[in-house]
Amino acid sequence: MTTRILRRFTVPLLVVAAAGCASGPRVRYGDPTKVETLTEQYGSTDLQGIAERMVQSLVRHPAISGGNRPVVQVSTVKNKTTEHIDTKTITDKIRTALIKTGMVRFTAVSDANREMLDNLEYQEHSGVVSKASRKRVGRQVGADYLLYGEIDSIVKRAGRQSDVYYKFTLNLVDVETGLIEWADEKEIRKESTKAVVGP
Amino acid sequence: MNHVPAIALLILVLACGRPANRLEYGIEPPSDSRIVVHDRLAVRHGEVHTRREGLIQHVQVELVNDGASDEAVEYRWEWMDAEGFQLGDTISSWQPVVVAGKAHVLLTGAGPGPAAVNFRLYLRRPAR
Repeated sequence: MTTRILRRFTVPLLVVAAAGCASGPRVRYGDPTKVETLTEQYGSTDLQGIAERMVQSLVRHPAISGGNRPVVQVSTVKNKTTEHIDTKTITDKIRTALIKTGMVRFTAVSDANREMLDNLEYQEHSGVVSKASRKRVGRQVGADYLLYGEIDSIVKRAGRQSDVYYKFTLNLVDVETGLIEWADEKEIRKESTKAVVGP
Repeated sequence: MNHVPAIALLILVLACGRPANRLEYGIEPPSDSRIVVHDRLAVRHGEVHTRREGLIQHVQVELVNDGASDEAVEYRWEWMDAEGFQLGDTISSWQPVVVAGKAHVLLTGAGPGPAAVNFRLYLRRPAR
C-alpha cells in the first residue's frame, strides 16, 4: 500500500520540484533605509548612522554654523579594521548632507583636481574656448578646513557568540593653524549568535 | 520507540526555527502627534525638546523603558518645511537603538537644512 502511494506521487513531486528549481532567482527592490542585520559586519545601517551622527554634530560647531560658509576639503579616513570598508562612501555621504545644508562649501581638489587642471589647460590653450568664457588658472579657492579620520574595530568571538565594536572618529582641522577645531566619534556594537544547527 | 523520530523532528524544527546568525543590536500611543508609532512598543516617549541652533533645528526626544528587560526599537526622522513639504529624505534612514530595562535614551535629530522647521519621529519594532 505504502509503495503504491509512493509510486503514484513520486513523478508529480519530481515535476513540481524540477519546476521550482528551474525558475531563476527572484529579485525585488528593497528599502535602502531599512535596518540591515544580515551579518555582524559593517553594513549600510552603520554607514547611514555614522554619517547622520557626524553631520548633526558638525552643524552645531561655530566653524560651520557661524554663517561664513567655510571651504572644507575631505582628506583621508583610514580603515583600521580587518574588513574591507570603503571609507569614501562615508565621507561622500557626509559631504552631500553638509552641502545640502547650504552652510558649508567643499573643494573638489581631493576628487577631481587632475580633471580640473586638464580642463583649465584645455580652456587656456586649445583655442576652442571663447576668451570671454575662459576660466583662468590661479583662482582656485583654498580650503579653510580639512576633514580626516579613521574607523577601528574590536572583534571578539566565543563559541556561537560574536561581538563586534566599531569606532568611527572624524576631525575638522584648521589648515592654516593646524588646530583641530572639531572632533566627534560614533560607536557601534553588533552582537551575533549563530544557530545551533546550520551555518 | 515510535515517538523518537517525531521528537527528533520537533527538536530540529525548533532549533532551525530561529534564523541562522541572528543578529541583534542591542507603546501606549504617544501623546505628541509628532511621534508616530508603527507597532505596539514596550517603550514610551518622555520629554520632547526642540531648539534652533544657528540655522538648524535640533530635536531631542526621550524614550523611556519602564519594563525590566531591554527593548530594541528602530527610529527615523522626517523633516518638513514651514509649508509641510518633506525635506532631505536621504538623510532619514532607520536606525536601531536599545533601551535598557528601567532606563531611558535620548534620540537626537537635526534638520537637513535651514528650511527644516517641523519634524516627525517614527518608531517601530525591529523586523524579525
